[in-house]
Amino acid sequence: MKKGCLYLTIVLSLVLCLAVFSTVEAKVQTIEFWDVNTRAPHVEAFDKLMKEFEEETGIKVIKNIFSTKDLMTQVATAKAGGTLPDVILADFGDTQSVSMGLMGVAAPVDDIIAEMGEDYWVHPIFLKRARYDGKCYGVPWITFPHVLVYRKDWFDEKGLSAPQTWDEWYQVAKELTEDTDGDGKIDRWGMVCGFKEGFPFMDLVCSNGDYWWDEDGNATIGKRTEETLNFFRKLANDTMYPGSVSYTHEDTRLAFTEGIGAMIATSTSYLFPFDRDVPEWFDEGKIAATGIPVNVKGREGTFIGYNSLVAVKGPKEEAAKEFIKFVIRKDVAAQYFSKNVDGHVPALSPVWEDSGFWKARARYESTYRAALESVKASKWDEPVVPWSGIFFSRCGYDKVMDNIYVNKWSTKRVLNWLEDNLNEVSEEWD
Amino acid sequence: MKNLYSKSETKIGYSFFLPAFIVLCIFLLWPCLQLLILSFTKTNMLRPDQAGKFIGLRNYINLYKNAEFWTAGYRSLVFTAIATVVSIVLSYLIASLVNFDFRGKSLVYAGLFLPWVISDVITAFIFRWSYDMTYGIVNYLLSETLHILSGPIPWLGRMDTAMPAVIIANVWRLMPFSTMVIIAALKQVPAGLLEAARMDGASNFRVHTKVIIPSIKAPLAVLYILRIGALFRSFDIIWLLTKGGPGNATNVLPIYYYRTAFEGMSLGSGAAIAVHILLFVIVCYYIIFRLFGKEAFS
Repeated sequence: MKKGCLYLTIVLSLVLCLAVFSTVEAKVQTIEFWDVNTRAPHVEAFDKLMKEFEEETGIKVIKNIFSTKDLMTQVATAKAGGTLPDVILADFGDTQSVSMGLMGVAAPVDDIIAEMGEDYWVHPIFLKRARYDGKCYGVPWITFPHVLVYRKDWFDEKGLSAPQTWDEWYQVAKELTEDTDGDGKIDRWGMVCGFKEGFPFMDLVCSNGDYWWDEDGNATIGKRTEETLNFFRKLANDTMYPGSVSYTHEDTRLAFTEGIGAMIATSTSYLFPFDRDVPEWFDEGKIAATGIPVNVKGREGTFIGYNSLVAVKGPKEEAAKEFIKFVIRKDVAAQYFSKNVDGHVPALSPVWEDSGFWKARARYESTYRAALESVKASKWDEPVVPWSGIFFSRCGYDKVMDNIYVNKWSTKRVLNWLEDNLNEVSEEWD
Repeated sequence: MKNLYSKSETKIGYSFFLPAFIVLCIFLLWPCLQLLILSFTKTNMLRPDQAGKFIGLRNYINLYKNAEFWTAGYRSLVFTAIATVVSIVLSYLIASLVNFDFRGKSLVYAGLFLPWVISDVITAFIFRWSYDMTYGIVNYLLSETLHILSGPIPWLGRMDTAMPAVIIANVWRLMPFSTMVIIAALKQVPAGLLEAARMDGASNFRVHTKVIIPSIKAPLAVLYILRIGALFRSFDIIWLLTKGGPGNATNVLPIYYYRTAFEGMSLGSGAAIAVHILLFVIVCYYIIFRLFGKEAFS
């Protein structure tokens, strides 16, 4: 009997201790953050930022990493299973944050935007594209504006200058497509592209101000789209490395560093792999970047991909918003962007004015400045529609490129195909 | 027919069978039923307000009206049929070649099994770079060494070569398992039977077709079932190699399903596609069952 009592006392004491410890643990507030960026400089800089946030607020941030492509599936699954995090880094800041808003996952962040003021962001388009039905669902943070990267040494050899218009682009690309070793076969191309992700075509769409739908979601595919398709056809047929058709964006960058092509249209994040693989190009000034050439002056449009911070609806919404405000705060953001992935540039105006940031980024100053100028000059203002993701799953830019270059569809056929699908998707949505 | 077992024995038999049946119901039949129900609803992840709204056969009607569904189905059939037959025929040939005692046999077997232990992602990368126009070994061998081609070609970037290229990658990945199963089966063929056939003057071809293949009918039937099931649902390698492109050249049903359900966020329409994948595999299993006969599976 005595023994039994002793055991019971021990068990009860243990239970009591556990209860006390769990209460202490519960007092430390935690929030979960879903990240999509796995590159080492980001991970290091962001981990530091999380620690500083914990020291300042007592809120611990627990990070989980997901692949960009799986993010929306993970979000949908977590919503169904009631396991959503508190803050999400949306890779496609516009479509993904709006989609999360539509799914009932993202909390509106208009209070944060109002507190910081809209001028806090480099371009109003960042906020506009994260808004739907009058509410903003993401706080833009990192951006990757697209630029035309070119081999400056080859341009200099031929006395060419960076193209500013489509005509100039085609001319220089054609001139640089040649047989350099005299064996009768072309071994250097003007352009290298990655058909698998469709970015090069998207750059043309943006730089031509080619909107495929209006504010009401009605198809506006017409003359401009025809111009875009025809220019892509010309550029691809006459100046593009044929292996581009099976390349991803990363393959394209690799091919460029191997000297297969003279130009690639890519995002500023090219700096990270290039400076790792061919640092001498930066030391010797062999490459340079310029804005994506335009078809008609006045229609300048740069595709501005960006990451947004999304606060998830729920009991920890306030803590999540506090974390977001901390991340975008000038001093914190300047420190982060001084050490993050090269080419992942700030979407926040105050960081661009920070001398410490410029000092840290001196090596890439020209590209960073080209990126900023091209963002500021961009007039790209595609209306936000809820079904754009569904439409692009059917008619992605990659498929358009394949249909022109591989399937050899006529321009008219591509236009009809785009319009039919667009009408179908918007009707289905209604 | 007279029951051989008493009532209590039958009950015990059922009780042994019951746990497996319950597990099957929970993990197989219930998800299939859920899939079927989902296919009759308008479930789009972007419209949680409408999730589960019953729309009858609308998803199916839309699917049948869409030409891409039919072409994706046709591509799936071609891909599955060619990859299945090629992988099993090649496996049989290789198994027959190595099915005798020789020095370094273990090493050869280990080498044969290597593609099976490599993950799909790595397989896809090996082939993506092997097919590459500039750095790929395939182009190098065919154009520089053997001079079969006049110049390198983008195997994964052409309408006419993408599907064969994808099939080869899948066959390479699946062949080792089939080879091992066939080697194991060949070892079970009685040596006396082969000897008798040869003494009766049967040619090598007849020995294979009339003696060996009928003797290993059961493992072959199982292999066909496994292959068809795996290939018709095959997604990883195709996605990593071509993402269904160029154009829609390798857009098979699982890719079409993924794009619809997860990129297009339309789970209802996606479920309707998945139902067709499931039905096709069931029909194929039934055909194989009939072709090989009951005894192959008993």
